[in-house]
Amino acid sequence: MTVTATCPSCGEDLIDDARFCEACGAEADGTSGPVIVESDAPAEGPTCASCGGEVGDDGYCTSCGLRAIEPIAVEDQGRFAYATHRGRRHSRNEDAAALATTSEGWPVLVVADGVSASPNPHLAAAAAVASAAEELADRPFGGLDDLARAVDAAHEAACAIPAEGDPQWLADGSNPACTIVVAVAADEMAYVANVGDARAYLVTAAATSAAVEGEGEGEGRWQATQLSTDDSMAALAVKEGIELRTALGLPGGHAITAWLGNDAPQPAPHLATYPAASGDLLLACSDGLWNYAPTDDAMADQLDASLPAPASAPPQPPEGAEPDPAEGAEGAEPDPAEGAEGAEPDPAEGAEGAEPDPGEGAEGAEPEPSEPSEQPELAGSMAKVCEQLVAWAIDQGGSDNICVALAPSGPVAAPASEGDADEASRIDQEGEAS
Amino acid sequence: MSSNGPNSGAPFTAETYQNEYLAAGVDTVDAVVTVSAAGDPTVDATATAGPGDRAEIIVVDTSGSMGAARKMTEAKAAAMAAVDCLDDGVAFAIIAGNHVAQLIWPTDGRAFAVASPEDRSRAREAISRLAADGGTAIGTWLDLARQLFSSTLAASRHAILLTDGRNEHQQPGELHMAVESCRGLFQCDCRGVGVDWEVDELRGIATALLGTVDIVADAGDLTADFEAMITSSQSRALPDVRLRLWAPQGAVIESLRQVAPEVLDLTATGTPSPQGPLARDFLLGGWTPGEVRDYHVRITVRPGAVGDEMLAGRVSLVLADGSVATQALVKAVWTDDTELSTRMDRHVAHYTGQEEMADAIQAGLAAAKAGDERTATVKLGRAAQLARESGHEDTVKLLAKVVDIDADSGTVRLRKGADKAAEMTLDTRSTRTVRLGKPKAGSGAGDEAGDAGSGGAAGAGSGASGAEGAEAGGGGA
Repeated sequence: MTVTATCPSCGEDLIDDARFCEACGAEADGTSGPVIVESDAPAEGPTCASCGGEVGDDGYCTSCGLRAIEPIAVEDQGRFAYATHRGRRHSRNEDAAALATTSEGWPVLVVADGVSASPNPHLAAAAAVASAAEELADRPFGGLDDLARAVDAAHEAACAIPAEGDPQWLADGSNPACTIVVAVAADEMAYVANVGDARAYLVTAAATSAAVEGEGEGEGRWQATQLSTDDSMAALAVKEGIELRTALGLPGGHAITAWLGNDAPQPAPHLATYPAASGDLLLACSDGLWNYAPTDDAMADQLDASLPAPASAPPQPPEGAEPDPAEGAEGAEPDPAEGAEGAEPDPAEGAEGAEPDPGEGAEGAEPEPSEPSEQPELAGSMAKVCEQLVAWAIDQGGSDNICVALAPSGPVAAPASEGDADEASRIDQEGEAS
Repeated sequence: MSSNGPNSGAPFTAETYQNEYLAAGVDTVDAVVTVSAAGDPTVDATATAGPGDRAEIIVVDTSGSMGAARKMTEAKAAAMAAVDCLDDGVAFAIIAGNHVAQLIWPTDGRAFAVASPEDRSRAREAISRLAADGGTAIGTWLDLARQLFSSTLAASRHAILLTDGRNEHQQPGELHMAVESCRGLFQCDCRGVGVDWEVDELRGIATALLGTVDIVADAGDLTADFEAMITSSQSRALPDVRLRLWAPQGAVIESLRQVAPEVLDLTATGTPSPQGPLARDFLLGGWTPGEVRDYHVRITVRPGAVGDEMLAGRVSLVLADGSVATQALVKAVWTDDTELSTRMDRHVAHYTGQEEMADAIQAGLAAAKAGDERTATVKLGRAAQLARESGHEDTVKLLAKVVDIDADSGTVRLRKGADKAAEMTLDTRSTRTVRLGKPKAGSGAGDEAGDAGSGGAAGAGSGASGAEGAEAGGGGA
């Protein structure tokens, strides 16, 4: 731009050779305005992350016009929670989550990620999580068969969403689509079903050996084990022996190979179980989170940053007992629901702790798996941890919608048999809630 | 962002049509904002003007040339008819103009008479005594009108200016100064009778003073035209409406053009806004209940990063009392999805074409006048193409009187010895546009707007539903 006789910002006449406009403070050459527009009212409201200006009632900065990053939406059920946000690069949140409890009081986490290359993906995701949660809520949990049924229900719900009416999509004959992960944390076992690349992890206290390798002693650390199996081009490449981060960087690496919705066949979810103990956590998330922590180790690092250190890390590394993500999987885990295909957690990961209960070793100090509050300081902070993880992903660039759900292993509500089942009733909610 | 008028109780509603999705690095944001006045002006009685709140001035050219071709006789009849149309209670005055301006009614020292049966009859008498004599100094007529309007508190101030010649007895600069000092004080509809006046001159006055301009080639048509102008003026129940355009820090308002019912470039008319340094105010004049106007906004902004959403502009309708009646948002969202960023909103495409058509007609006629037949042929050919594509039948007919249009090739040839009145009519009416019909109407004049045109316009039809819906989606996201 060239210097003009009037201020490019406010139109006031400029004094000869002025570098800044006397009236509004913008640079006279229009290249950048360092200007925060003075507001009559004291600037008590939110400020713009980009220029520091005041954010108006309509959510846009009153100075630079950029849409302010909205607060992270959090659904806090006390003992378990989820958080979600549109991120920085998508104009709407197409992720959705739902929370529920089985009649045993076990937490149900459902996360779906609408496929951006389809019409109305946000509606598909919202319908899918609601239906899956409904299928499991307030009923006795019957294991992986029930999860498969929940995925079927989610698929039907996604199929029922019309393709019309999405302003961000040209009518091209494609149909609404989403991925899904459904996870239940029972007393001694985590159950997971997924289609697409939404993930579930079991989060356990790591053996101190992990810390010892780093620096002798210190607090316990967390360990994450992916229980879901990605339906993605990257996952196929990993099967061919390519390293995961490299695979994700390949063209189309993030492309999914299975999803829910009318353009997909009847879903064949990956089903997995994994021994869990009291004090363990179950985490479900969309790729908006795990893109920034694609491996189990990277996810564990992030959990260390967000969670208080585990209370009861074992003092000694039990030899060979901890699951090792780097190891190959022969995947013979105890399986209450035999016959479900893909019952192992993940070919790329290790259920090397294939003993019936690796948690036994890892959490050796643990007396009673069904004791509800092994990590008492975590009980009320699930929502905060979810929010922190989402905030971290936004900080990393927020290239996709982000959704994180977290629950402790074991009951989060009184079993329905003891009285009011409805008290811990299902909460299904779309991402934009609260 | 917008709600539909009749039930909302608001005197105005505004709606944005745009494709807000921009490719990385793109800094130009185009949008069409449709502003509609409520059908029932009583929804906001405080902002409406009754008869006692209106002032009208009729300015009649009485230069010597008016004596020819019954022009004076017909002009007097038209002025009398206009007076008869005035509602009781309206303040009014009659100016006779040649090389000087003379207030011929009222003659008792007041600036304005107040319309009543008695008063109208005496005004008619004064008009009947007008005689053609002297030269033409239009600036002096405007100066007198300005002095009169300055003395009234009437909210709605309107003038009719009739001339048959060019501003010969005054320097162009003097007329320009007179026009500028009238800006914002009153609206003025301009009429040229016969073919010896300058289209550009009258168009300049009408544009600055937010009025219409037209040719009345046959003096016998003056009466009907004057009656229509008075009726239209008196129906403008919402006076002194302003459009406030906010743009973010570092943005430049490249243009603000009214594009329907006719093209009117408002860009240069912006004034500093009481809202602050980031906003400009543009006078829109008075509005008739139910009236709809479209505005084409073009703003350049500092491009955001992919994924950023920016409020690139906020259009507010500001009433005479300073209150904001409605707002429409112009947005920019940067995306790396080319499916989104390459769509063209059909409203923006349509009006971009209508603006180009008006420019092409004016440039073509100017070239023809200057003897540059080649440029004239190219420009008028392009105008004919745009007029046909947009279904603008009126302009197609007017063009056909000036050029021969080859139906197959679409090329045009200048007609030798074309009727001067036809050329001036085409010129005067070049800014009139057609509105875009509903996408599914099928028969609407504008429906072909996107189909036959350039590559850019060809995509407009399919982009339409997306861009319209995108507005709603933007609000809900």
